[in-house]
Amino acid sequence: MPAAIEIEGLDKSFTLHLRGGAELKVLADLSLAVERGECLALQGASGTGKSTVLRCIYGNYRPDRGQLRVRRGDVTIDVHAAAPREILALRRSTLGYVSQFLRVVPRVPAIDLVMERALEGGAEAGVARARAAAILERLRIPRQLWSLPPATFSGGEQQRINVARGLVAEQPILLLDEPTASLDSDNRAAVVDLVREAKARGATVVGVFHDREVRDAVADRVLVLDRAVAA
Amino acid sequence: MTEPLLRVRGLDKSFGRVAACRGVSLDLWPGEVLGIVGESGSGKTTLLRCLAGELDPTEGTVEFRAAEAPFEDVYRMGEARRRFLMRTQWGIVHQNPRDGLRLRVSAGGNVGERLMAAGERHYGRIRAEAVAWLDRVELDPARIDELPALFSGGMQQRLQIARILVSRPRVVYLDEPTGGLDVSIQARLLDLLRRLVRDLALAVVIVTHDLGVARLLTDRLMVMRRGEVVEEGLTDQVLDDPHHAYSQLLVSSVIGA
Repeated sequence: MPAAIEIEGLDKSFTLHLRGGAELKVLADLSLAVERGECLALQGASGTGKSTVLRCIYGNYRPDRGQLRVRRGDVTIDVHAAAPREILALRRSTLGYVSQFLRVVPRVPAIDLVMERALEGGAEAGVARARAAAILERLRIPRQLWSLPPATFSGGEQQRINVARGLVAEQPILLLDEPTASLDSDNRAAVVDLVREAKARGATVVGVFHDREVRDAVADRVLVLDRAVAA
Repeated sequence: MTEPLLRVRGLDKSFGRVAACRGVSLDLWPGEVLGIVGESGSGKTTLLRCLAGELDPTEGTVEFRAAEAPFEDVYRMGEARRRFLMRTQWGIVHQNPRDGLRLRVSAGGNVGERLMAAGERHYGRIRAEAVAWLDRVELDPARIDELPALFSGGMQQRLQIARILVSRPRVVYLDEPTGGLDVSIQARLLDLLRRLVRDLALAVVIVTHDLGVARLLTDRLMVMRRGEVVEEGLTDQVLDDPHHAYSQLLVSSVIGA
């Protein structure tokens, strides 16, 4: 059975035109494979490209070279070669992503923001709302906050809304960028439980976990990234 | 859903010796929201008006596909056909509501106009539809007989949207829909637009200079500079990993987009 994610010969650099065309080489010839149901933790010093790997898989960063094969059922899609519409469809059906920042339309209540992701994943309105409520409950977001827009929430609450949005659609591949940053230990444990349950239902996870306890609790394997050699 | 509904190839538009758009090509798919960003004078609005049947391109083609119909060249079909499609299949929300509304006709009359153009003659049904659409864009149906001149800027924008959506178009073109509105009103309009796009499976082309609006509303972005498309891609690709020097300048100039 082919891997859920296969990266081959991935190069990613940034050309900073506003800095006289300086080139920042972040990933050089990176290859990796993640099996279905496996959790791979990316580790390495700041600036070694951990988040960049996640963003390349999600189709957010455009690599210079290489293949990014993501498997969905019997279909394999190379994210690097895919058209924007295909990437959007792949995100809805397959790729859950928890970023480090919550970026949402102002004025929209927290529960609607979470529910929206379940709707995009194909759930019906009633099911989507029930799932959103369930995951907010699991992440210990007080009920009186559900109907409020998260703009005024604390950092930890906003981060948990972000986690809820990334996990609610129960996609088969989860990309987690520091999902427990700025969370206290009880809330960290809640996130760990959710990730473990996702794995138990067969989800593949690639994550950056700064917190060692969290990493030990969810990761099957650790990949250490080194700083790419400057071109 | 396997074919685009709008196909543009090699579009140029010049005014005298000034080239406003050069070599623009694009496909728009059902349910897709495409953003066009760039600074003032980059040709965004000209391009939008060419797509919407309002400005005949100097070169190139704009082809539209009505439901269960083949592609038709918007500028080579007859005038009557084009006017019919413009009233039923798509609509443009102008930056200045005065260009998109009849200010001497009641709010209800504005919404009913496109229905009448499409052949509806029954007064009761037209009024009922107008009430329903005013409500849908969060305008108080009790104000149906008022003139739009009495509405605030945000209300006039929403009235323009209702006026177009009543005919169940496949494409809506929006020219700086949040420009000139208070921030709180902008947020409300953004939320409304997002819900309408999702619920009605509309295709939308939105011209904006506000990258924050583009991030929250669009799937795909085209960056224009001096009439040319310098970069395009998924919205978050263009905003988070801009490749062209001009896109990098745009993104880096924004406060917290």
